[in-house]
Amino acid sequence: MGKSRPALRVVAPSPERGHSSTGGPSDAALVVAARAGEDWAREALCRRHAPAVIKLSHRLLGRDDEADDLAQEAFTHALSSLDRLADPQAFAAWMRTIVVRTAHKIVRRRVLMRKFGLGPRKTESDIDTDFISREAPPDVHAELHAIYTLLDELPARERIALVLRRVEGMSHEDIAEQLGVSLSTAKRLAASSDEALARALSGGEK
Amino acid sequence: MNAPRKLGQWIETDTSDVRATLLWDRVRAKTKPVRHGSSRRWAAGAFVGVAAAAAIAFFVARRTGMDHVSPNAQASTFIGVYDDTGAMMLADGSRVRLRDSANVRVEHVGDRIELTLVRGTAEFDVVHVPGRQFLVHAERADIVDVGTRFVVTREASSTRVEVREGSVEVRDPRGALPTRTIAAGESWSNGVGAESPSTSTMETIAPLPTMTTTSAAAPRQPASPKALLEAADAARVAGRSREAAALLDEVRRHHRSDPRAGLAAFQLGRLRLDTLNDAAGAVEAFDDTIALAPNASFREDAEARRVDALERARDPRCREAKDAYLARYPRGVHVAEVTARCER
Repeated sequence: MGKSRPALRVVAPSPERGHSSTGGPSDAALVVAARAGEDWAREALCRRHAPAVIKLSHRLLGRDDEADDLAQEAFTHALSSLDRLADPQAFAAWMRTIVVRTAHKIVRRRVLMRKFGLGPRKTESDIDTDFISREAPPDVHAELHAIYTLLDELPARERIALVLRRVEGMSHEDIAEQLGVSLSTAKRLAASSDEALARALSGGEK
Repeated sequence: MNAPRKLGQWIETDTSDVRATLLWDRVRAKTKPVRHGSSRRWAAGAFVGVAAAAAIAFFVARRTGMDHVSPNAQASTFIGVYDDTGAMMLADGSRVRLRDSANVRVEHVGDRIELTLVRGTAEFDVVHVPGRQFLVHAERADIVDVGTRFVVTREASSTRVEVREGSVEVRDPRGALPTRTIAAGESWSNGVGAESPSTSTMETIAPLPTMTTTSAAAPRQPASPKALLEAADAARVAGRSREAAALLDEVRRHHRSDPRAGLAAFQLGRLRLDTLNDAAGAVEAFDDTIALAPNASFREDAEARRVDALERARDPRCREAKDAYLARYPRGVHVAEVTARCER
């Protein structure tokens, strides 16, 4: 007699809560299966959330070619620590937090290296904002250009806060949660980065 | 400043299927499925997993016509989902797309995957696995696949098979009709004589009318690399692998200066290796990937896949490619799998 095999799992498209309109099992079901060691569930989670994670990574770092590394690090961390996710249905929000915090870590590391003269310092000509849609209204284009030109000048947390506030349109409460700081700290970070942005937009001095 | 606007919508990011696939490849290489060490926790996890799976299967069976496996089968297959299209994927990469409220029962018995089409139409894109038989049961017809793409429609008293790529063997489980091999571009159906459905069977083999895919009769292709890549993505997720490969080939051959040419060559190599069983062609595509995009983030992936392709092609350059990968990426994400290759 052969060893008994695990039972059949059948998953097919279905519009469920916790998943986009594209159908499929809910995030909760996938997380449960992934925790049980099912490789297909891990793949489904990764593929399902890859577009959102890559987009967020790109927006946080301001460079499309660095987004893959951030997305990879974030997914690697998430899939290795699924046990820590209290509400499996909240996978998307949890994943977003991981991306933000991983981005913060990467930026902080980069800033530190630069302080020791180890990292490349960007010049104005290195800053590429071709990723801003040509269909963006002129004021939006100008603001985004200013944000991504300014990023490297800001401390790591302010930089992340600026993107979350101006690009992602997050509230102070959401920024506090994403960065794991108090509400008052989040407000302070946002105010500080907003001031820097206002100066940049007015072409003024620092 | 005023309340923040959400400006992210004006930022363009490539979120193509190719990129997601590449991401998953790298994440998979760095993570392993987590099995709980403690037997008690494992038992609890397994219970939850099985319960969830059963709930999903029940839910899905009710909503979409997927039946449970029969209780006496040794079942071990899985049908997953490609979210963007709804195509379901078996663990080996074969895909099943249901149409017309189709109902399919899936079993995995030993080295054989068996699907019973209870009703409706199902399109199969089957990955060839040596030694594994892929069998579809329908109305008075068993369809045996050997790595191809075909559509089966089950009606009240007949079955129709259309072969898009490769070939299939159609058998009559009662033995009333001879076994037939139906090739790409042909259709087969078993009509029933009016006077006695159980004994009088008519069989028809005919060429397919013009295919709805663009691969055969309609060589007209979009010109820009972006359009070609989008068409290739669409063809790939729809299971039209050869068409996808042709479109990717078009990008890398005719748009070599385009920054996406390297990615197109990489995806072409993956398709050739994983789906089209063309290892030598995959080696050529991965070589081209490295030539087109020597500094791309996916160069490491291309080199690792090249080693895989060389091994499968039984190419003597395999060992050299393996050593080159390990020297270049001593802490690379594919070190474990590359190390295991070219040992024979």
